[in-house]
Amino acid sequence: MKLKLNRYIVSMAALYMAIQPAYAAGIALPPEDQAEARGLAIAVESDRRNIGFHDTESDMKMVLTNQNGDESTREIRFSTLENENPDDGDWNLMVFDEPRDVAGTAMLTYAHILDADEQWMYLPALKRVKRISSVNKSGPFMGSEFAYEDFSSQEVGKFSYRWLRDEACGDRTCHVSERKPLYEHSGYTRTISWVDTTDYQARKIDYYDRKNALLKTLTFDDYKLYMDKYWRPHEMFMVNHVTKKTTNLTWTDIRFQTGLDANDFSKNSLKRAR
Amino acid sequence: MVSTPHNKILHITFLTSLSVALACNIGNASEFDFEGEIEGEWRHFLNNPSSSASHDDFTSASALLELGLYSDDGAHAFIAKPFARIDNHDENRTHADLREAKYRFVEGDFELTVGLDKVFWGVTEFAHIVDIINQTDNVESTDGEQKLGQPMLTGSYVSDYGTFSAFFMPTFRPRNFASADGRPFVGIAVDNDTQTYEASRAEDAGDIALRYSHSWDVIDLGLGYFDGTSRDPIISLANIQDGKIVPHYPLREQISLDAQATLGPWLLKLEALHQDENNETTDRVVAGFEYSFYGIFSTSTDLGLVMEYLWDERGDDSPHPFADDLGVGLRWTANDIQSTTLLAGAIIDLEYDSLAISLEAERRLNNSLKVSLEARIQDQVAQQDSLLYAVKDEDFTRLRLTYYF
Repeated sequence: MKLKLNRYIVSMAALYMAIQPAYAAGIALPPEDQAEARGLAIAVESDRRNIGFHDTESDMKMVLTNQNGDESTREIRFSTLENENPDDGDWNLMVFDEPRDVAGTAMLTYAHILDADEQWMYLPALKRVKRISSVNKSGPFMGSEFAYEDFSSQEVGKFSYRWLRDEACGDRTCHVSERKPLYEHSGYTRTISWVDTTDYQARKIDYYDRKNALLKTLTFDDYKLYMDKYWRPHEMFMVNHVTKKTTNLTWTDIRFQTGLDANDFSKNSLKRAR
Repeated sequence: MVSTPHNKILHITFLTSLSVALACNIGNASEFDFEGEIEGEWRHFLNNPSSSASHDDFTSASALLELGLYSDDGAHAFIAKPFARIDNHDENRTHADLREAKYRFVEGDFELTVGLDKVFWGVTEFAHIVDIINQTDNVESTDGEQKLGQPMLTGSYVSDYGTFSAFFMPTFRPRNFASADGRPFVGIAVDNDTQTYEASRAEDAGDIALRYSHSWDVIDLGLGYFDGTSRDPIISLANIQDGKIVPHYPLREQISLDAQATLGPWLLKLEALHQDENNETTDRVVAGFEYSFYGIFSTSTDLGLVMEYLWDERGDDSPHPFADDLGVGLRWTANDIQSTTLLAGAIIDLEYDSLAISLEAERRLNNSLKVSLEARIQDQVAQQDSLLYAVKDEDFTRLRLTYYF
C-alpha cells in the first residue's frame, strides 16, 4: 500500500514538474479546498528550487544545551552529492571532528525514498568500515535533540501532505502544511511545517511524537542565497518541549559544485575521510 | 622494532621512498594536520602471578600521534601515525611502532599506497579470522584488535562491479609477547628476538594478497586471497631455547569470504576461510547475527544482541582457543551526550563449557577526555581446553583515561 501511494506521489510530482514551466512567472497552487494536492504542490515547489545543485560541502557546529545550561559541542563536515534520479535519494558523507574521541569517524549514507537507506560507518582506530542498520531513524543523533531522520534528505516522496492554512511567519507569509512520514520506523506521527510563500523555504517545523503530542520545534534562520538559486539556512535551532534541552546548529563555509563525484562517496573513499 | 638485518634494510628502503615521495609533493601540499591521544592505564590482575618475577598491578602510559600532509586537490597525502608505550614492569610492553607511515596517491578510480599501513578485512565481532594483512600487537590487546604497522604496496581500483585491491608485503613482522615480568603470562616466556620460519630468507621475497569487495543492495561481500608467511605463530614447548619458546612461522595460502546482509534491525554475518598451512588444509567459520532494539523501554537507549558461532575444523588441535564455541554479547548504548556504552560478552566452549568473559564500559568526560573500564575473566576452564587453561588465572581489570587533542 505504501509503495503504491509512493508511486502515486512520485507520478503526481513528475506531472506537476512537467507542467511547472507554464507557470514560470508565479506558482499556481491547487485551490484551498484540495488540501492534499495543495500541500504536495508546496513540497514539490520547495524541492524544485533545490534541483541541480549537484554537490555541496559545508561545516557544521552543533551546540547541545541541557536543562542546567551545560553545553557541549560537536563539529561535523558534510558533503552531499545530488541524485539525478528523482525517484531516489541523495548521497551524503559526514566526517566528525569533535568531540575529539570520535574525530575521523565518518558516515556514508545512500538515501532512498521509502526503502531503507544504505549506511556505512568508518571507525578510524580499527580502520574498519561497518555496514550499519538504518532502522534507527528516531534515535538521537550524537546525543542531540535531532533524530537521524531530521538529518536525512527530505525527499518529497517520503511524506504525505495536507495544506492547513496560510499565515504570517515573522515578516513573511507562510504556507502551513501537515506532513506524515510514509517510511517505516519514524518517531513522529506527523509534523507541521511553515514554508514561506516567496522562496518556498522551511521556516519552522513542529514535530509530534508517536503519541501525537508536541515533542520538538525546529526553527530555521539566517538564509543565504547561493549561485543566485539555492537558499541555505545557516542557523537551525531545535527545542525539545518535554526535556527542555536544545540543540543549535550553525553552518559555515557552504560551498557548491566543488567537483565532487561518485568516487568521493564510495566505501573505499570512506577510509580516506579525514 | 624489526629484528633481522634483512627487514631493517627493507624498512629503510621504504622510509627512503616515502621521504622522496613526500619531497616531490610538498610543493603543492596545502594542509597539515596534527592530532593525537595520550593515555594513562592501570591494569590489575585478580590472581597471584604464576611467575615469581611478575606482579599484580601495572601502570602504563601511551601516546599515538597522527600527522598528515595533504595536497590541495586531495590527490597526494603523506600520513604518519607513530605509537609508543611505557609500562612500569613489562619491558616487552614498553615498545614503539609506526602504525602508519605512508604515501597515498588517488586519481579517479585508482588509489596507490606505499609504506607502513593498516588494513582491516571482515564483518564479525567475536573473532576476525579473515583479517590477515597486519600482525597482531599482542602486548596491546588480548582480543587481537590492535595491530602492528605492515610495510606494503597497495593498489586499488574502484569500479561499478566492485573494488579490486592488490597488496605486496615485502617484509614480515613477528608477533610480540609479554616478558616474564609481564602479564597475561602463561608460565613460560616467548622469545621476541628469535623466530624460525618455514620460508628461507631467499625464498621469502614477500607476501601477496588480493581483495575484492562490493555491495549489492542489502549485501556487502568481500573475497580475499593471501599467500605468504602466516601471521599466527606455532608456539610449541618442543621449541625451547635459553628458557624461552621460539615461535615458528609456517607458510600459508588462504582464500576467504566475508559477507553481511543488513535486513532492518538484523545484521547477518559470515566469515569463512580455507587455508593450506604445513601441508594441512583447514576450514574455519565464524557466523552469526546482530539484532538491535532501538529506543528500549520508551527511552532513547539502544540494546544490541550479538551471537556468533566460532568453528575451526581442527577442534582441540587448533592453535586458537575458540574452535567450537558460541559467542554471546550485549551492547547497551545510552545515546547520551557522553556517548556512554556498555558491552558484555562471553565466549562459551560448547565441548567443555569453559567461559571467556569480557566486560567493557566507556564514557566521555568532556570534549577531549574519555574513561574506559574493561574486565577479562576466564571461568570454569576445563584442563582439556588447553589454550584457555594456560591463562585461567590471568583475569584482569583495566582502567584507561584518554586525552585527545
